[in-house]
Amino acid sequence: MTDLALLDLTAAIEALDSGRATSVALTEACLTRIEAHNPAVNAFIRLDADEALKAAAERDRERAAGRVKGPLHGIPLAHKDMFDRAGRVSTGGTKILKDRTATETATVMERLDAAGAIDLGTLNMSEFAAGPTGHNVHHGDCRNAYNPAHISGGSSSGSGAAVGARLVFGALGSDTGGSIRLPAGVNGLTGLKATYGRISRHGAVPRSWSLDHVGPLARTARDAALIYKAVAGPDPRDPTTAHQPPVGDIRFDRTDLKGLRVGVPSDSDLASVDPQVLAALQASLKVLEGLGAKLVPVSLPDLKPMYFTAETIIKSEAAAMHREWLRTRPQDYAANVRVRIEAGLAIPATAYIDALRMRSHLTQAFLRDTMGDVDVLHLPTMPIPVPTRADTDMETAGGERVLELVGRITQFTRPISLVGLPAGVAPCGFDGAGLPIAFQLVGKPFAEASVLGVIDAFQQKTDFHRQAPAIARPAS
Amino acid sequence: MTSLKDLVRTLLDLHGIDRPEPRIAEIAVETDRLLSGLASVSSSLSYHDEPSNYAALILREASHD
Repeated sequence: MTDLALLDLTAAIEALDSGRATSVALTEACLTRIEAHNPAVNAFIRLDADEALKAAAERDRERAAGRVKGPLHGIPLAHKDMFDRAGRVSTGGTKILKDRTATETATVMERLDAAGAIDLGTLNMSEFAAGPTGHNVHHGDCRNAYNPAHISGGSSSGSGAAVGARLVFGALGSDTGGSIRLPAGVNGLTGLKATYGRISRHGAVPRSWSLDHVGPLARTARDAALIYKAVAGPDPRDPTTAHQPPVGDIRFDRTDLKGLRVGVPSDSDLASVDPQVLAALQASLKVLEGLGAKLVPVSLPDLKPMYFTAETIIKSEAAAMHREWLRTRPQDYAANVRVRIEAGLAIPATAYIDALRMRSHLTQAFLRDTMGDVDVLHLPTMPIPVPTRADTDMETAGGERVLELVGRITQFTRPISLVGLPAGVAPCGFDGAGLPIAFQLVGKPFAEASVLGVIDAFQQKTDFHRQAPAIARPAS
Repeated sequence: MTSLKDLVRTLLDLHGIDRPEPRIAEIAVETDRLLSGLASVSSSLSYHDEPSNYAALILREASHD
């Protein structure tokens, strides 16, 4: 019999709609896989099995009575442990918030509830969403779904590992410098960081107010679109979401990409990219070209100033947010997280303000000089093969070599967070160790539909997104 | 660097955060790296560049396709 949890989200909805599956059956299938495989990846912080089964039974009764709440009716999901639910704890991956009970529910959680989704529990994450590897001294390291010796990516580590290991059908994460795109990329998933201000952050534990984005991780572009559409749009409780263009429909009927202009950086822009990664990226461009897209050479700006600008903003805002805890509870931070946050205490206000001013400058230049003649920009997600947890452990190993390696992970994601543009990632190959390689597709402001549509067209021609990790392959 | 170290020590004192000298030196190095990196690009700013321009900019540039 088919393991229902191995269906993708879109297929699971079809199974529910056709009566071939119930929400209870889908939820039980996920719970069975969680029991069997979560110990390998350590994706869950809290499992709410009884509540989820109760909710699933209620969704089945509603469906039988002809009352379908929304497009995700009866679908089990789980999310990064930073989205508040009134009366429940969301830890933010920290010891400091482990007893904090939320008084309000995050807007994205309310919207998923309204769409009919079921919440299986909360997922592991880097402490206070700081760190791109998935290490966590409080909840244990999260591990890659393809090989537990390698990083899960972060900071939405549990979201990447849980969806990658087929424990849930999809998950929300957050992204300040790559925290959706990296765990999606290294776990063979499709992830979307929407435009800054497209998705409400109300009720989400902040990392950096100016750069935080929320978005989905799922197995395909179509799956990601279902979650994205359920949560996107203006929210009076998050003023950054005001005045945005309509979310709009996403076209998944494109059989070709004729007329699409894909920006391709020069060889020198990608000189630091590992040859294995580069080969997979180039092969993905051939697929897009084969679909009729026009490849347009573009010149990337120097990414270092963008990196410095983003780092100044993140460190300054994190220091402001953590100042009191740094004074009163320093022992409750992982040492490597504490030192990175406290470095922000010495940044002068003038430098922070300059960084915010530079953000507009750099965004304007990026839109004009890099995105001006193209619809989407094709970039690496991570310029190196997925590293091991041991090689990137800043807490126990540390040192210049580790810091340099960890710094490279966000080389192509952090600058895109700074300019706030929508960016999706999708798998396009595997490295010599069998770990996924992903491309990143950057769109123009609020053009998430275009980004997801192009990724979908790519996925209709390739099967990288179907090459599940060993722990998620059907028994033969 | 000595003056930056003094500044870091003073700022941490102001925040009531007690850190050993080697750590203060590390923060000074880190701060110097960041400020130098930022200074290399912020010279292009004029007094017309406001910190609040960003949100308006991406809305203006919004694609409606």
